[in-house]
Amino acid sequence: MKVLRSFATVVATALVAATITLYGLHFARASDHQDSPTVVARPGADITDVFVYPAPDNAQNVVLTMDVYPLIPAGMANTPAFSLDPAVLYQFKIATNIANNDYTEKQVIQFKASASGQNQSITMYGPAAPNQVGTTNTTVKSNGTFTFNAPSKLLNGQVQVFAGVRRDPFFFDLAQFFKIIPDRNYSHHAPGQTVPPATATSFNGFPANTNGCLTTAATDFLASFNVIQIDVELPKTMLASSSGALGKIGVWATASTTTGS
Amino acid sequence: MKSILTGAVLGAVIAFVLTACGGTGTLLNPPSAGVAPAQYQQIELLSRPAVKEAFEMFDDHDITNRTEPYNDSTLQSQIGSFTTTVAGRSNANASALQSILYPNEMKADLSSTATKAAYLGVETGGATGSTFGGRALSDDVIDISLGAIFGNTLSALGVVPDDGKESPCLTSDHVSFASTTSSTFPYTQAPI
Repeated sequence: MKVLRSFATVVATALVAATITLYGLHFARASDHQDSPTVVARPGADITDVFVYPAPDNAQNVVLTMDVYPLIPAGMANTPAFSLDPAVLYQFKIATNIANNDYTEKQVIQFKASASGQNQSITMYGPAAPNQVGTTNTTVKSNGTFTFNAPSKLLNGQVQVFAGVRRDPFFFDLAQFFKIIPDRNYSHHAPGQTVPPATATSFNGFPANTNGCLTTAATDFLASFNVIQIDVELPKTMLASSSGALGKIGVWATASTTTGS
Repeated sequence: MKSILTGAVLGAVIAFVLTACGGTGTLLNPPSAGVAPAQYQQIELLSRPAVKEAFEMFDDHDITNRTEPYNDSTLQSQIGSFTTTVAGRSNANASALQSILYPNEMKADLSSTATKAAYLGVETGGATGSTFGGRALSDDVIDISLGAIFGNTLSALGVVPDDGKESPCLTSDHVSFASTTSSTFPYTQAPI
């Protein structure tokens, strides 16, 4: 039984490796999707988009969203592998004093999954002041746990959280972009590859007689893909400046591992 | 299409195998008294969309991914150099884009009473649709970015004089928001 289990593990590992290889060689298209070899090798750490917007259900709240794991094909949302990477610490970092030209993070909200697969539970740490400012971090105070694919409330209902597979909201004619700026296509940077010259100087979809621009129909490359989304909705007051006033903030999202790879 | 189908088939196989194996992993960082906390090193960063991707050479993305967004001279300089050399715009345009897009953080104004976000709304005084700024799910960040880099957005806002060096065929990719939003958290469309 143990032998069979080991064999199954080896097979699973090999298949995951094969998928990652295919993912790198064939899927290599998107915006901030697949923007370095490190994140191509670890798609659960590949942050594709960040959103910050007033909460539609509560004017006192703000929503922070990051999308990871690009290019999950339609119909594959329930695949166990498409879950948060348990080796990754996901963080929203918020600078709350940018009105005074201080762009360092004053608050962090961190997420960490317990295990692989869509049965994983996820712990939210913070919002809290970071233990360390900069690119090496430890977790701050835990404020509760929730399960993948299930909208949940933490901190006595003040904070809503979600991590799960959603349709990728991003839209872009990536294929044409890569014809215009081939350097940005990951596949041209794979071993043995070279970056070819540009083959286009125009996007598609222009009306006829527009300065000679291309009139070919444009294509939204992301339209048929999903991503994994991490959302947190919290009172704006939790991201107030040190004086307690609501003001301008700077937001970014990071993915980190203990190995740096 | 072929690669998508190949990926789909492999994904299904992986799903089966992982399920057969139990589909579990280990808790890498269990809280434990007396144990030094795990140190996590940044390997990826994103704030404003399309900044790294548009302005920065691919081989330098890993630098930005491992750097604080306020200590990233590589990205800051390449915002300028891309604007002048690749996009062929004026030095004034390059300086304006550097000051708007660096530090590499997405700005939002929590004191704004606006109910909608609008990408670059803080940086443009609400000219993109809202003083809240941030980024709405349906914001056309690509067209906004293309307009600023290749079009006349900056001169239309009065930020710089018109340099007459627009590239009209690069000012829009002509695709629009294909997903849907919901009034219920988490507000995005279920997977397809």
